[in-house]
Amino acid sequence: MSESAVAIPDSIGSENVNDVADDGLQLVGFRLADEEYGIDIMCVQEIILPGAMTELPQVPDFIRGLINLRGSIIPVIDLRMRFGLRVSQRTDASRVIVTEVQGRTVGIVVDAVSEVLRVSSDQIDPPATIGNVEQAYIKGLVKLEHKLLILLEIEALLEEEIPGDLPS
Amino acid sequence: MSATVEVTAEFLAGFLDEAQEYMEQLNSDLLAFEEGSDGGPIALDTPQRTEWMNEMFRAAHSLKGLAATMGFDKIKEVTHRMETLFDRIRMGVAPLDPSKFETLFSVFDCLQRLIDELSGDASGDVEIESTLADLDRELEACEQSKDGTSTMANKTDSQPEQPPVSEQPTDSELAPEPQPSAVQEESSPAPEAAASMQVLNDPELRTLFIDSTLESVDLLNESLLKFEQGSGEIELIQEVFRMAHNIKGACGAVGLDDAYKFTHSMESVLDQVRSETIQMTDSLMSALFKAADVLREVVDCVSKDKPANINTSLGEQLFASWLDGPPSSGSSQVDSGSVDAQGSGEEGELKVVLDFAAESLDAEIQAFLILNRIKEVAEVHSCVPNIEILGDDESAHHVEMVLSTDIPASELKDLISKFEVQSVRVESAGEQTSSESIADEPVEAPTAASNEAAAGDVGEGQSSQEAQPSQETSASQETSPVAARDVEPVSAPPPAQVATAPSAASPAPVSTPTASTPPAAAASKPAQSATNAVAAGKPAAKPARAAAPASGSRSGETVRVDIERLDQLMNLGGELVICRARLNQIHSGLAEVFDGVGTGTQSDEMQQSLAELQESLIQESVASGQSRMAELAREVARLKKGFLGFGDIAQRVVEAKACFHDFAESVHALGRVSDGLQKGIMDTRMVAVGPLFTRFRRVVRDLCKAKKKKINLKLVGENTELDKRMIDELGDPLTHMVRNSVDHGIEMPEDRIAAGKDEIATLTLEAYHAGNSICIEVRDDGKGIDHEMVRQKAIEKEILTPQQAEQATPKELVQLIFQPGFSTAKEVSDLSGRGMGMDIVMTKLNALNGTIDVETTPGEGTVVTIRLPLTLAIINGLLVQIGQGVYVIPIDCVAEIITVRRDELHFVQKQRVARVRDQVIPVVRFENIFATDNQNLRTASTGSEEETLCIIGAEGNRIGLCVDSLLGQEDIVIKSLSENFQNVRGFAGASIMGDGRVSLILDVGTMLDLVRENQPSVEQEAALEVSA
Repeated sequence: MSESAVAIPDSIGSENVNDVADDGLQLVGFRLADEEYGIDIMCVQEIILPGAMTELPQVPDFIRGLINLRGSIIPVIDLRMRFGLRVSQRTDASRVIVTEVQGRTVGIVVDAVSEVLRVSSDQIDPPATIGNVEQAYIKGLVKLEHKLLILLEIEALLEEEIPGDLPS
Repeated sequence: MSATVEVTAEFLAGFLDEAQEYMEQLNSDLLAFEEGSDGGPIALDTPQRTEWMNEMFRAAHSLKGLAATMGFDKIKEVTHRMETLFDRIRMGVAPLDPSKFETLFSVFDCLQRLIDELSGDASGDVEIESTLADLDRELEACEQSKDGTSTMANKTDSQPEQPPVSEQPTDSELAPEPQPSAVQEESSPAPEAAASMQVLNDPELRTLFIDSTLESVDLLNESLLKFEQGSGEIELIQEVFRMAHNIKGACGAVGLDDAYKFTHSMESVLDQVRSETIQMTDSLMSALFKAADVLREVVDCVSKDKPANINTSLGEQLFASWLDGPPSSGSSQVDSGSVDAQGSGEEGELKVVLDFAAESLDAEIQAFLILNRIKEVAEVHSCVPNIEILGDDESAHHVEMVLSTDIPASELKDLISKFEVQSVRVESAGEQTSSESIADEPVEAPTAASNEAAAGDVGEGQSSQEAQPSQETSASQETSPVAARDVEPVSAPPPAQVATAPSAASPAPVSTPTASTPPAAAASKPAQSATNAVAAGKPAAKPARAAAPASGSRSGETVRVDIERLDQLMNLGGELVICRARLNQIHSGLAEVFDGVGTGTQSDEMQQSLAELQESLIQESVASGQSRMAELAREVARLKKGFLGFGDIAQRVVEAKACFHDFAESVHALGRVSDGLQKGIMDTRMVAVGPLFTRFRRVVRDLCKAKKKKINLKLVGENTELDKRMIDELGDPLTHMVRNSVDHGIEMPEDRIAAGKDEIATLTLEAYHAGNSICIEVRDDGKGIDHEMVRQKAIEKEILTPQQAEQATPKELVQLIFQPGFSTAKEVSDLSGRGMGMDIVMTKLNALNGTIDVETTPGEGTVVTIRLPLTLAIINGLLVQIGQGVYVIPIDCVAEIITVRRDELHFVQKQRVARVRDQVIPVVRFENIFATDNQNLRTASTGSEEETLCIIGAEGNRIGLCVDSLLGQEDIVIKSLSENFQNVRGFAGASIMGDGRVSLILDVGTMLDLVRENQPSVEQEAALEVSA
């Protein structure tokens, strides 16, 4: 099974060696289509290779299926599908970011995990409608030297998509 | 006693558990009373009734004690009043008339609410004022009736009656509180005796009691012996004390009151020895040994099912010399001193002949006591048989002793008559003239006394026994205030001693406690007895559990475990099952690989043939001189060399194969262990269904009252065990089922008579095992389900079209009662009729992977059967492949598996159906049920010649699910989808396969619903087609 953990790149991006302010954030940066995204590292439990997934009927398309994470069964969400991006094939760079939000463990398929970076709060701009993601799920835009990074509000996203037990 | 125990979750859980048991006890006893009620006051005239009342009293008392320790004041206040009321009834002061039933039931309900509040099931402040007021009113009524009947009041004179109404329970009841009740319990041995037999009738409890008590007696003997032989280490006495205490607790728990008192005396003496208030003497030592013998005899009697009758005051007598308070012994010393001064007057040899009742168990001990007593006033020359070293085979029922004394024969006789002897003869030994055989009045045989008591004659049996001690108590009050306060007869100065001391001619010494220490020692007694009473009072009410702690050193027979822990264990067990499945898979993979591997000789043979080839080539080259040959020979040599490496690898593979065999064996062993472990964990979680069933006695009773119906509830198979979680979940659906039966099924008494049935209906709750599942039946002999009524209702509610309704079979019609909102009741009552009940039952059962089946015969009754898996966490499943996915179908839901040729399938209005024997079954595909167009989920075998169908669902509601292949049957560990995700309709959960992949468990019930929704009236159409 290919669920062996992949080490989070420990080389911190060269463009943000700024002093880390107290209110700064540590982010996991990843790529979806041609855009760079980031999520708070505190939400990330681990990053694994995408293995065999068990697909489910009766659920939205972007829920790719269920995987076995050391005995726990967790759902995996395809963010590309969720954001309505062009569906791409799985590549060697594809990863599943396992997040833990409000006691639940949920995997997110991304095209690639790029780096772990620190940003200070003054680098984060308030959200504007940008790219393909609804504003509600954007915490802000992170200005880096060479690029912009979309900071996702992963909790809101997961809360909405997986509301928990539906009354049957 | 600690003032308040911090209420931790664990304590609370324990409290709730115990409290629930007491509540059930209270309810069931009161129901029992009510059952036997003929409308008038109920007299406690049978041992059984007395026992019920005592049980209720004990339950109330224990609950009060529990609540007090936990600091639950409300419960304490209610139970305190309740306890007082029960006590009044128990003592005959107040009658138990039916008017009290309603009050008491409402009190129980109030208590239940209070308890529920603690467990978080109910919220808000439970109001207890009205309940308290109700109880107070009852108590006041008691007071009045008590004033009216002076005879009754007399009986309770010995009771330290406290006006319960005026008493403030909140007024720090902690320390002093248990004492009065302890006294109450102590001073009423009669009902306890009846209770003892009840408790000991339970074979399990009896064994427990016998085992633990014998063990304690053995240890006690052992420690005593060691003490005697050794240098008198006080630790040994501590041990003896502990054992005596344990035995006392055990006796108290099973209600052997006499034995309890006996050990109490023993314990009191030991306590003094232990605190070095009195010295261990040889005579005390032999008294203790005798005591141990008596205890062994008691246990013997219990094991032989004989009444264990020992004299109530035996302990006092045996330990009289050590037990009495200092003032009396002091005074007797003074007295005897003066008597002694008078000196020995006339001396004459006397012969004393004692005869004991044949059935008297304690003849030996009595003889010993008498001998001891006589020794105080006389010099004993001989004693036949020798009481002090009596062998096992000797009987002490007839004892002769020769002694010389200076007191008159009549006085000696009086002295002896104080003991439990049948007859005494004192004759002058010298002259054979048989002097007047003095007084043959047979002393009241102990057997008679306790039998009388056991017969429930509380007042009588007691008064004769109690009269003397109570007088003595008052007599000694000035001298020994502490002892007087301690109303327990045991610790009161023994009557014999006090009565005889002044008249004793020679000193009665033996123990000489100094005047200053005893108060302290005595003071410790009340406190101790209070504690003991608490310990004993609780076990008495709950013997099963209490017996274990009472036996102290033994590790507990049962352990209370948090169900969460068991869940965790269960999960881990599940993981282990998964790991094993994985190992099995690896094993079969390896087995395949190693299948072709031989013994490793091939490589040797290869070497050999290469060597031969090389040899012949060299010879050839030498012979022919061709350089080509030599070249070839060199080539072969190189090959041979290269092949050496392969030989090595081959060797390793052979070794690996040997290892693999070990591995295979280990996997096999692991399988066995994990099976055992899983079963063990499962068994641990199993709980008898009895308590759940018992709850329904009350439910049915209340329903009967409300509906004015007459129902006899029968419980069958209460010992059937079920997963604890399941039991917890079942209460609700069962209640609905029972309500339905009572409300709709069972007719009014007059209708029943009109229908020629017994006026009293029978409702049966039965649990039994059936294969790998548990069945619970709710069976009534009512009017059954009216099919026509269901038909009409179905049309009315537009569940069926009139045409469909016409076609529907009775079985299908009955299924309709599970539809939400469906009810045949003409009007909605407070109990049922809204039509939600059976829907709730169904939903709950689906959650538990259970199924439900209704069978009804109009006019004869209805049987509702629910079938449940043995446990929630693991199911036996059929693994099937559909498309890319592997799915699990709970094996209980699979009726059969068939293979049909494509051309055998029919089309009925675009729906494919298969004819299986007489039934027509819709054939459905996974992708159709779930309406998905995901290619990976589609059934693959669409184009093939044959279809494999799994016939799933319950009788009368089945579908054939197309599957691509069958993968086998396995124990499946259910994992919830909602833990990290959400429940998905149609799936009961997921599981992890041996290869680590996730497979989904199909929820057959919901799938059937989905089929019905997607293709409405499939079945009806199918039915149409067939009939056409």
